[in-house]
Amino acid sequence: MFLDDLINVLVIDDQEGVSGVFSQMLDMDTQYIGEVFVCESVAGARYFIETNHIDVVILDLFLKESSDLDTLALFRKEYKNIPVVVVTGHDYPGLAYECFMYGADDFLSKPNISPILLVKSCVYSVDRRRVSRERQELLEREQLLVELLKLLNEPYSGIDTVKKLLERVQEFTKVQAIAIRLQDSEDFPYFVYKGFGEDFIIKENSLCSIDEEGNARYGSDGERVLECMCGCVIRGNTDRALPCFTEGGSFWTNSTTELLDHKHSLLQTHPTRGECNWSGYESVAIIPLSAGVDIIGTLQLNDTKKDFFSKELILFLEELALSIGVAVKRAWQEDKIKSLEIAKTKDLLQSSRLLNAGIAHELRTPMQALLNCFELIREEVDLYCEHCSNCKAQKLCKTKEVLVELVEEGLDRTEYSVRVLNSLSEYSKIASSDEVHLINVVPELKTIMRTLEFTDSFKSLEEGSFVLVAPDEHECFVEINRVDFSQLIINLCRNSIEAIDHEDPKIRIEIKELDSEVQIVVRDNGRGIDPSLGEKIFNPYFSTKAKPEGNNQGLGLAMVRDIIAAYGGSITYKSEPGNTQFIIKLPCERRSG
Amino acid sequence: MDILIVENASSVTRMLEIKFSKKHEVRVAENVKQALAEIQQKLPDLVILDLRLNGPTHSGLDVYNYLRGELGERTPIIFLTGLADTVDLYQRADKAVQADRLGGVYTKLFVKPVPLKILGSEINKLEAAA
Repeated sequence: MFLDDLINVLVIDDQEGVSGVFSQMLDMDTQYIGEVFVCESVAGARYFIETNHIDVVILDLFLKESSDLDTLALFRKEYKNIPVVVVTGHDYPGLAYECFMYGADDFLSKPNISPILLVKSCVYSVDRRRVSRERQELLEREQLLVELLKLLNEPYSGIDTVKKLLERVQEFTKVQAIAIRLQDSEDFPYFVYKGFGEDFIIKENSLCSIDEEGNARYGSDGERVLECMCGCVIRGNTDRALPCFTEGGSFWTNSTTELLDHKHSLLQTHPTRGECNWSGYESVAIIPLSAGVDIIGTLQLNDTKKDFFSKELILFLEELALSIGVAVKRAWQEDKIKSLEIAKTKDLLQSSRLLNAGIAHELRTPMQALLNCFELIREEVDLYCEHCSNCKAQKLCKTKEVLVELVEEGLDRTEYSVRVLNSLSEYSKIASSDEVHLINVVPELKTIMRTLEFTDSFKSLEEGSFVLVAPDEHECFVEINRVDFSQLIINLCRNSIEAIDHEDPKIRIEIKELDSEVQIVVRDNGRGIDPSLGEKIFNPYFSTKAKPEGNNQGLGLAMVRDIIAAYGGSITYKSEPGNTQFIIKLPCERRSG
Repeated sequence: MDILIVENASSVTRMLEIKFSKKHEVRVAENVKQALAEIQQKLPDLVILDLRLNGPTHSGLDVYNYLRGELGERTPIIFLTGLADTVDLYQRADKAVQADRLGGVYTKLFVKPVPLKILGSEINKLEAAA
């Protein structure tokens, strides 16, 4: 037959005699009916429903406390999922239909009720519910599968795709915590997670076993020994004869407390760290993620409630894990490609830097001669004129005038060339070393800002005009060369201060941490940038300043862009008069656990 | 003042010569070997020393080391650099400048191009101090 267990019935009727009849009828049956409870009101029903598992309710209409269909409506409002069989002695045309409209699962007219009919009605009601529930579940699963496939076919967005996947599975299962572990050389740390506490992740991030001296343990197969159930699932050390393992190599339990209490042979062959249980998680499922034949990670679901999982759900998750494995592998590979691209950009940058530096350097010695040559001519002109009869006689000598003008022009242009040269040297200096530092963004920015405050253009700023806005106790880390980092911040701040030509200058650096990147915004209330300039402002030698001064020959933003590209970040800007923002995004390193 | 210019770019040397030979005695060396010979012949009052001389194995630092190390002389030195020098060479020169400053010895490092005005005023200062 279709039902796994006997069904428990609750009879709600105010006429004791009749309900006695019903319970007797039901008691006669031993094939389908389990326990039968009787009560006189919906209020009384509440007690039974809360303390027992009730599969179906038999409800007599025309109760004392409410009339007509109110009782049914009341019951339905409170208990949507318990099937109700309505029995009544006051049948009239249309009543059955009305009952169904109010959510009854079946309708029986009193005088004609036989034990067989009553049992059949109860069993069918329960079974119809089961079928419709299963159908609903199937629909939801199908919908989830379709959505996941859609996600997989979307243009790649890295780790975010995997995160979305995870969120969607969590939404579907309603599990409290969900995570994906992914292979990273010899270990399998958490790749993405949701619902787990930071402490749990830090403690459990590594699966690798280490001995008392802190050295890695290796198995006889030469592989790193991985601990706990996650390790067993990854290594395929799952004894399929045991009920907590599936054919597909998953582990699942609906009570970690019972699992640990039993101390049965399972824990000797599959020792656990017990952290899930200590953290209060009772239901735990670990599904292997595979790509091809290799297990590349796990999908883990934890819930503090007992009996969260059903075998069907685990099997369905195994099915999902196949798609997730593919997606994760892709995310992983694309990440690799991205880091290769970053390395390539870095190389390109390095060689163009070397070329720039080379040009600048090669020109310095001839510039020395050129500059000195003009200086000497200038001096010689004066000396010559002291003895020139023309000058003596007329006091105004046309030749001298022309000569001086030419030489001054030569000197001026030479000096300008030297400035270009200097800026080129400065530009090619970025990332003078390959050394990368793990930088704590907020304190680092504070230091850079303090340094800037001593420079001429920032010295005169009033208190509160140059500020850092960051969330309280904010800590985020970026891997970048320290000199590069300060160079890019300094360049942006300098541009900001130069763009402000009014009396109330304000420059703000804002920090926001996004999922996997940190966003640094440098904002000023200057005159703004013409939006039609677009990306051009990042080109070398592009400058909005009419007369480039100092060593900033329109290379500042080019430098900023190059630095950010070299670290896999991005820079964009938004601008209107009085509000210009440069938005930097840099990949953010999680605090290592 | 007796000024020794050690520089392999003759155009640069020529300008310095024109400028400073009016008031000073100017000697010129094109490479390390010539420079050492000039120093051995007579210790100059100032050496203007290009950091990168011919060949990767010879640099202004060789002349510097000879003067400061072997001879133990505190002769004032002005390094000129085109920045084309290897980072290592530049840093060593920079260290030498720092060390000498602490020891109260005149050693300076200028990045080319240096205006004659500036070199002139350095020479005047040295002359006044001497």
